Amino acid sequence: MNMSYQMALKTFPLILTFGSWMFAGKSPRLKDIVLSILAILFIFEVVLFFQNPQELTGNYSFFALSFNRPSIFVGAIMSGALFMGLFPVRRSLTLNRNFLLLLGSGVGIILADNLPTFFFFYFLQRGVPAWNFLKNIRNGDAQTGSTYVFQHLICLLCAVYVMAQAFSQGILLTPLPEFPSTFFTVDILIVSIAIIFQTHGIFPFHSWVHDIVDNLRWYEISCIFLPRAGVLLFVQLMLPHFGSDPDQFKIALLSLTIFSSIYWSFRGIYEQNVQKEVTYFYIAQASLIMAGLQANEVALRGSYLHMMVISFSGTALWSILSYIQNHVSLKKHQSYYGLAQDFPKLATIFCVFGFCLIGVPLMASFVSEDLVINGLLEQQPYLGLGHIFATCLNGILFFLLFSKLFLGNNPTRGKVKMMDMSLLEMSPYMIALMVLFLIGVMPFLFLEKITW
Amino acid sequence: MMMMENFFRLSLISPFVVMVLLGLSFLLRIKVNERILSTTSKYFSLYMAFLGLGLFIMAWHYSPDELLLNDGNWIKFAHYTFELRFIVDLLGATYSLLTACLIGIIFRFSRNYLHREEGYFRFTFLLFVLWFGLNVVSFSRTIDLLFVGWELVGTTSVLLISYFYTQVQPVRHSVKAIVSYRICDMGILAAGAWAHHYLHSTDFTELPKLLSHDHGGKALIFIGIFIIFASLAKSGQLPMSSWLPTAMEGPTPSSAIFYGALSVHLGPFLLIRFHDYIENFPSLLIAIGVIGGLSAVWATLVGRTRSDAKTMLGFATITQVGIIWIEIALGYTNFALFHMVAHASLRTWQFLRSSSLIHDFFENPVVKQDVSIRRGLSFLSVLNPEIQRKIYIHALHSFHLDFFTMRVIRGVSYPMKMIFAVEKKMMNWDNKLLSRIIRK
Amino acid sequence: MSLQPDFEKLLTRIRAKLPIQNPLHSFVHNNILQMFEAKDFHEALIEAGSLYRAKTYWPLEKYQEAFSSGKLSEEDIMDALNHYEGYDYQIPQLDLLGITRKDFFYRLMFSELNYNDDELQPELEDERLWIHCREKVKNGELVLSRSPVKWRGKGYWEKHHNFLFSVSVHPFVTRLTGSFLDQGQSFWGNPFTQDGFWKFLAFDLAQTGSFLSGWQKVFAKKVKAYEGKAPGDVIIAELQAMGLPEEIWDSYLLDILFDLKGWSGMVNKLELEPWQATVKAPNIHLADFIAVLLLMESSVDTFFSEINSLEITLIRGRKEEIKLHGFPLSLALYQVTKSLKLDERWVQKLSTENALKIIDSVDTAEHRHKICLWHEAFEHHYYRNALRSIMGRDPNPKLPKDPFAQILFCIDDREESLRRHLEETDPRLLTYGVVGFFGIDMKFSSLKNDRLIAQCPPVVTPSRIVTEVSVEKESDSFFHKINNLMGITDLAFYYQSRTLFRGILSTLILGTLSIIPMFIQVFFPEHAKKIRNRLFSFVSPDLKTEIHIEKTDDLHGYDVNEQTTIVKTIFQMCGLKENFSPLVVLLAHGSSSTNNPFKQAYGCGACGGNAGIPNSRAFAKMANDKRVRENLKAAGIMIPDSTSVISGYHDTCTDETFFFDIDQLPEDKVKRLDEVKKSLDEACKKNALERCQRFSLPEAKVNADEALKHVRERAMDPAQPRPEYGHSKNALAVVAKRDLTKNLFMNRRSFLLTYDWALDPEGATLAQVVIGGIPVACNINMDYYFSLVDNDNFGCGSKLPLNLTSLLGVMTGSQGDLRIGLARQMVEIHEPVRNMTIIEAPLARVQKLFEGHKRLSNIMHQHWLRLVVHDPETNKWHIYGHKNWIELQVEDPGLTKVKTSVDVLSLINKIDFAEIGQ
Repeated sequence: MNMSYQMALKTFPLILTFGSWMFAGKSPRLKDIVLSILAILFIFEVVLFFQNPQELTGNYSFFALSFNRPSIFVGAIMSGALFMGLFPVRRSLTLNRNFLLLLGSGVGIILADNLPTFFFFYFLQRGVPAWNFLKNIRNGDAQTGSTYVFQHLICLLCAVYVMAQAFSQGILLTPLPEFPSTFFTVDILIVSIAIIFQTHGIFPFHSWVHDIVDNLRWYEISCIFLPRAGVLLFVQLMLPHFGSDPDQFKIALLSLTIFSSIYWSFRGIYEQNVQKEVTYFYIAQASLIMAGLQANEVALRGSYLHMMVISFSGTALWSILSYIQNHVSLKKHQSYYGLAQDFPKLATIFCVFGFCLIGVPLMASFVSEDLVINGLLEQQPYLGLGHIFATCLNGILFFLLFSKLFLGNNPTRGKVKMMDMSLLEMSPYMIALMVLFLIGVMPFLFLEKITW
Repeated sequence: MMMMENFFRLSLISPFVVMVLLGLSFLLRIKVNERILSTTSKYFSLYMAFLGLGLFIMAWHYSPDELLLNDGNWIKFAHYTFELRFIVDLLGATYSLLTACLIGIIFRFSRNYLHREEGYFRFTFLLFVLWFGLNVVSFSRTIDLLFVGWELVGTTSVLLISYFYTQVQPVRHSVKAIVSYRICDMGILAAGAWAHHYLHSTDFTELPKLLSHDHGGKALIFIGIFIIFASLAKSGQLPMSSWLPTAMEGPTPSSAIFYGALSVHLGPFLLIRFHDYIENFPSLLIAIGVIGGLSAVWATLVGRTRSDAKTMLGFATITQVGIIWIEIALGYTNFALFHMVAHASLRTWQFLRSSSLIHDFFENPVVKQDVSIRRGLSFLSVLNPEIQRKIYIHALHSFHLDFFTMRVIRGVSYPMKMIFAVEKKMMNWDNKLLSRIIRK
Repeated sequence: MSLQPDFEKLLTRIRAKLPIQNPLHSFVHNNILQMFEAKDFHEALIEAGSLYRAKTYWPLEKYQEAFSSGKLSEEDIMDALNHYEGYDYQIPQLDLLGITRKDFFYRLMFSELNYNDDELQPELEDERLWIHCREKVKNGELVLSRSPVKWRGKGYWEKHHNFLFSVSVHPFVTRLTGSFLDQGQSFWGNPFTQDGFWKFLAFDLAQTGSFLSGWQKVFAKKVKAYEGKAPGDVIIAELQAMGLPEEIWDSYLLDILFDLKGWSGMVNKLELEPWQATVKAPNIHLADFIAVLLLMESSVDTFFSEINSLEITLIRGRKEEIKLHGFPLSLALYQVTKSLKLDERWVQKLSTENALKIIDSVDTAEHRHKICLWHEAFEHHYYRNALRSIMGRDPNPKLPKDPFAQILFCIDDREESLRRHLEETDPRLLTYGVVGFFGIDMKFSSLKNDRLIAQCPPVVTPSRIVTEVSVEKESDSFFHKINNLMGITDLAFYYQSRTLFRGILSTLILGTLSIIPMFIQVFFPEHAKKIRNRLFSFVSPDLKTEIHIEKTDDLHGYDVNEQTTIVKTIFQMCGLKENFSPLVVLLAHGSSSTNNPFKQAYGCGACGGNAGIPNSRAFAKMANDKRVRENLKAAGIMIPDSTSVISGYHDTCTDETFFFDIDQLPEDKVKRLDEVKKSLDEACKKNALERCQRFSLPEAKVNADEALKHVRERAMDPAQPRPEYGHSKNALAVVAKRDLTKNLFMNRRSFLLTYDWALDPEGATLAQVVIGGIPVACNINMDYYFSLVDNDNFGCGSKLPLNLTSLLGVMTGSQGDLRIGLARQMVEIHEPVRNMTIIEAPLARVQKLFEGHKRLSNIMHQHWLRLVVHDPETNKWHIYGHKNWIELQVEDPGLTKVKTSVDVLSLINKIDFAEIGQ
C-alpha cells in the first residue's frame, strides 16, 4: 500500500471529525454531503471486505489507523445502517455539530489500531454528550446526565490504568492483535472487561444509557452504539488470549451479559414512553452479541451475523419511528396509538424488521440466534437457558411495542390521513429486508463470507 | 421412491413460493385483487390435496426406514450442522393431508365470507404462511427444523387474532396469545440445544441412541420435559390455557382453522412425534397423562358455564385435546391420531356453523316455551345443590386461573422492579452530587 | 318508603331511552329512537348522538363528494335551505354579520373551519386579513360554549391513567349477565336465575372474595355494605353518597348503562316482555342491573382516587373546556371571515369582545347545523327526483278490463320489482299491494314445530291460535315421533359433543361423519338442500297438511263472521268490490338463508319476521268458504262462484314461488294457474337479474338464467354474509291505486300500498291501510338509517367476528357487549334518506287521519317521514312543511324512456326512476 493511501487513511477520520465541526450548521447542503459520504464509505468497504486485502497496518506512530477485516466489517455495517436510517427521513433532518463529532470519532474508533488512538477517539465520542450534560447542569436548566459523566470518568481512569501498564511494559503502541498474552494479568482482565461492558451498556455498568435515552436524538444514539467499540476491543485485544475452556471468570461474564439482556427487556416492558421502549429493545438485543462473543467458535460467528442484523433492523425501527413522529405527535402516554390506519405500509415494514430481530424463522436473526444458543450451550447448558429466556422476553417486548404503537384505536385522532412513505423513500428498507430475508432463507451462502 | 421425494419437495416448496410471491407483490405495491386471490387459492388447494393424498398413500405403502430423506445442510459451520432432514411417515402425511383439506375448505368458505373485506389479502397471505409452517412441522425430522414451522404457525395465529386491529380487545387478546406462545417456545429451543449439546444432532430418530451414553438418560429426561413444556401453550393445556378461549377475535374461518383444528393439535402431534423415545421414561408419560387429565376436567367444568358459542367450543377443544394427551400417555398413538383428525373436522364444522345456533334451537320441536331444555345428566348432579352452586361460581370465573398467572408474573418481575427502584435512587443521588459540585 | 316513588319515575324515564331490540329469533325492524319521536328529527338525533356516543349522520365527506360529483345540484341545496328555514333556529349575533339567516346557512355549508386540528398547517393566502385578525384577538381567550361538563370519572381515568373500562371493568359483569340471562346455550344452567341478579352478584362476590384484586375488592366491600337492601334503595343511597345533584341522575345512570347498551336493553326487554325469551326469561330486573353497574362505577372511582390521592369531587363535574387562544384563536377569526365571505373592513369595525362572541356562535352553529343542512340537501335530491317522476305521469294508464288473474302482493319494497316484471311479462294480470299478514292476527303452530309463533306485526297482539293439521290422521303420530326423535338427537349432539366423556364418543362418531356435510355444504351449496330433503323424505314422509281455522273455543280459530270481517277488510283495502277475476292469488313472502343469525330481518315484517305462508293459506281457506261469501254479499262484496282464491308464497332470497292447497281446483282453474305460474317464473328470473346488478358476479349481471342460479346459490351458501340485500335503499311509500305507479321503474326503493280513494268515502279503509303499513315502513327506514350512519354504535359491526350469546343475541369476539342493530354487510349499499310517503286521497281525509293517530301525528309533525298528498278531486299535490301544507307545481318529469325493464338495468346505479314500455 503506497504512502498516499496511508496518509489518506490516517487523515480521513481527523478531517471528518474536526472539519465537520468547523463548518457544521453553515451550509444547508450538509445533510446531503454527509449522506453521500456514508454511501461511498459503505460501498467502498463492502467491496474491500469481499476482496479481503492483506493487513494494512501503519507504522508504530502514535496515530496508527489500520484497515483490518473487523474494522471493515463494522465500518460497512455502520455506514450502511446509518445511510438506510437517515435517507428516508432526510427531508426533516437537522444535523448539528454533535452528530458530526460523534460520527467522525466513531469512524476513528473503528479504524484505531492501537490503544491510545482507540481510547482517544472513544473518549472524544463519549465526551460530546458529557460536555452537553455538564453545560446544562451548570446553567441549571437540566437535572440529568450526571450518572453518564461519573461512569465515563471511571472508564477513563480504567483506560489510563491499562495504558500505564502497557507503557510500563513498553508495548503501548503495538497494534491490538499483537498484544502478548502475558500482559493480561487478572487486574488488567477485570479492568478491560469493565471498559468493554461499559461501552456496550452491560448490566453493572449500564446506568448511563438511561441518561442518553432521554436527551439524545435517535441517530446520535445509533452513532454511539454502531461502532461496537466494545466488540472491536474484545475481538482484537482479548479474544486470542481467551481460553476456550469455561473457567469461573468466563461464566461470570456470560451470566452478566445474559442478565443484562433480561434486564433491558424488563425495562422495556415496564416502560410507558414509546421511544424509550424502542431504545431498550435495541440495547437488549445488542447485549446478546456480547454473550455470543465470549462463548465458543460457533457462537462467535452467530454473534457477528447478529451484530449485522441488529444494526440494520434496529436503525430501521428507529428511523421509522422518527418518520412517524414528524407527522403525528406521540407526546401523550396512551395505551394505544393505532397508527396502522395512517401508516399501513410502514407498520408492516416495522413489524417485519421486528420479526427480523426477535428470531422469527425465515429471517436472518433466526439463524444467528440458533448459532449463538447452540454455541453457548456447548459451553454452559444452564446459561443457554438464560439466553433462551432473554430471547423470549425480547419477543414479548417487541409485540407489546408493536401493538401499542400501531394496533388498537386512538380515540383522540380525527380523520384518518394516509401519510405513508413513497416507494422511493422506502427503497433502502426494502433492500435491507430482501438481504435479511435471503440470509434467513439461504444462510449457507453467506456464513462462510462473514469471517475474519 | 423417487416420485415420493418429488411429491414431498413440491408439497413443501409450493406454499413457500406462493408466500414469497404474495409478500413481494405487497412490498412492491402491486395490487392483487380478490378474484385472482380466490382462484389461485382454489386451484392451489386442489393441487396440494392431490399431493397430500399421494404422500398419504405412499406413507402407507412404504416401510418406515425408506421414508427418511436427507437434503443436505442448511447451516454448516465448524462442528455445528443444521441438516434438512425429513420423514414422510404416517403421522406427518395424515397431518399434512388434514391441513390440505381443511385449508382448502376454509379458502372456499372465505371466498364469499370475506368478500369486499379490506383484510382479504392479509388473510390469504397468512393462511399460506400457516400452510408452509404446518407442512414443515409435519415432515421435519430434526427439532430445529420443527421449530421453524412451529414458530411460523404461532406468529400467523397471533396476527390473525388481531385481524380487526382497529379494536382494542382483539389486540389485547393477541398479545396474551403471543406471550403464551413465546414462553412455551422456549421449550423447543431448549430441547434442540440440549440435543445438540449431548448428541451433536437433533434428529429424533437418533435420540434413543443417547440412552447408551453415561449421563444421556438425564439429558433425555430434560429433553422430554422441554418437549412437554413446549406443547403446553399450542394445545392450551392447563397452566397456559387462559389464552385459547379469548383468542376467538378474528373472523370465524380463522378461529375455526387455528383453534378448532390445526394449531391446537400441534401439541399432541409433537408428543406423538417424540413418543417412541419418551416411552422408556414412565415419569414423562405420567406427567403427560396428569396434565391432560387435569386440563380436560378443568376445561369441561368451566366450559359448561360459558354461554357464548365460540368460547364454549374453545373449552370443548381443550377438553378433547386433554383426552388426546391421555391417549398418548397410555401409548395408543394411532388411536390418538384418528381422534385428532375426527376432532379437527368436527370442531371446524361446528365453528363454521356456529352462527345458525339460535334458529336451530328455535326450530327444534323439543325446545318449547314452557319446558326448560333437558340438558342431560352431568357427573356433578350427584353432589348436593349447595356445593354445586359454589362450584358453579368458581367455574364461572374459570377457577381464577388468570388471578394465579398474574401472581406468578408479579413474582417473577418483582426482583427486576427492586433493581429499577435502587437504580432510580442512585441516579437521583448522582444528580444531586454533580450539581452541588458544578454549581458552587 | 319515601325513596321508592321517585325511583320508579326515574326507572321509567330510563327505560324509555334504552335500546329496544328483541332476541334474535324474533328480530323485528324498529326505530331505535321510537321513544324520541315526540321530538323533531334533528333534535332527537343530537340527544341520541350523545347518548349512544355515535355519529348520527353520514360523514361530511360523503355528502360533499355527492355534491362535487354532480349528483347533488344547486336546486337541491336551495330546497334544503328553504325547508331548513322553516325551523326558526336563532343564530346569536347574526345582526353583527349583516347577512340574512339563509345566506348564513348557505355559506356555513361551504365553510372551512378546522382551527381545532392541531396537526394541520393551513396556508394563509390573504396576508392583510390575517394581520387584522391577529391584531383583533391578540391576547383574547375564548372557552367554546360547546365544551361539555363531564360527571363520570371514566373519561378521566381512561385519558390520564390508561385504565380502559372495556378491558378491566366490563368483562367482570358481562360474563355474569351472559350466564344469568342464558336461555339454554350453556350445558350447565345458572342455578341462581330465580334468586335475582343482585343476590346472584352478592353471592358471587362473597364466594370469590379472596381471588379479587384492585377495584374489585372495593366493589365487594360496597356490595357487602348494602347487604339485604333492595336494589332501588341501593341506587338512591349510592347516588346520594356520591354527591351527584338530583337533576343529573338520569343522564348519569343512562351514561353508565350505555357502556353496555346491548345487555341493558336485553335486561329491560326480558323484564317487560318475558314471553319474547327464546325459552324462559330469568327473574331479572333492570333495577338490579343498574345497581350493579352503578356500584362498579363508584368503586372504580374510589379505588383510583385513593391510589392517586385525588379529590373525587373535583373529577365529577369537571368542565373539559375547549380553549382557543393565540394562534388557533386568530386562525378561527380568519377562517370565519373567509368562509362567510366578509372582508377586513368588517373585521376592523368589529370590537374584540364581539369578535369572540361571533366566533363562538359560528362554531356552535357549524357543529349544530352544517351536517343537518348537507343531509337535508342529500334527501331533497331524492325527493325532488321522486316527485318529478310520479307527478308528471298521465294518471290513467290502460289497465286490463277483465283481468286474467289478480295477484295480491305484500307491500314490501322488494316486491315492487317483481310486480313490475310480472305486469310486463303478462299485461293481463293485475297486482295489488296489501299488508303481508292479510289481517289475520294469529299465533300459528306448525306440524313440524308446535311452538306458538306470532304471525302478525309487533304492534298487533295476536288474539287467536291456528294450527296446521295433517290430512290423513293415521301417519300423523308416526311423523311426530320421528320429528321429536330428530329434535332430541340434534339437541343431544349439540350438548354432548362439548362435554368430557360423552364428548369422546360424539367426537369420534360425529367427527368422521361431519366431513361429508361440511364438504358438500361448502363446495356445492345449491345441491346441499336437495340432498338433505331427499334423505329426510326416506325417514319421514312429508305429509299433506291443511290449516285448521274453525273456531273450537274462544282461544282457537275464528268463527264465520270474524272470518268475514277479515276477508272484507282486505278486499276493501285493495278496492275489490265486484270486478273479481276467476283467479285471485295471495302471494305471501319470506326469505330462506343458511347460517345467518339475522334471518328474521329478511322475513316479512308484517308477519313478525317469519314467512307469510300460514297467513296466505288461512286467508285463502276463509275466502273460498261458501258461508263467508254469503255474508260478504250482504256487505256489498260480490265474489262470483267461478272465482277461486289460491294461496301462494314468494321466497325473496331464492326468487322461487310455491302454491298451496291446489288439489281440489277444477280443471280450467288448474290450466289458468299454470299460465300464471309460467309468467311468474319468467318474472322471477328477470327479478333475479335486477338483483344481481347489486352483487359483484359479472356473468350474473348479464344472463337471466345465470342470475337465477347465482341468487339460489347465495341463499344456500353457509359462507354467504349477504344472502340478499333486504330493504336496502328503501326511501318511498306510495298509498294509491296501481295506476299511479304502473310501468314506472322505481329501483326497488318503494313500498306500494293499494288504496282506492273513491270506494272509501269516510276514510275507514285509509286508516287500516296507513296504520298497518306506514309505521312499519318508517321503522324499517330508520333501522337501516341508524345502522348505516354509525355501524359500530347503532349497528353490530361486521358479521365476521360475531359470536352467538345465550341464544339471545350476538357479541363481537369472545367477550363484550351484546350488539344491537344490523350488520355492516346488510346496510353497506343503503343511502340515508328518510321515508317519503305519497298518499292519493282527499287532503282533509288524510289530515284527519294523521291528526287523530298519536304516532302518525308525531312522525308527520316531527319530520320522521315526509308526507305528500295527491288530492284527486282537485288534482293538486301538497307536501307537509313545518306547520302547514305547501302546494307543489307539477313539472315535466323528463323521465328516461326505456322499452323493457331489462334495458334499464345497465344504468341502475345512475337513475332511480324510468318509464317503461313507451
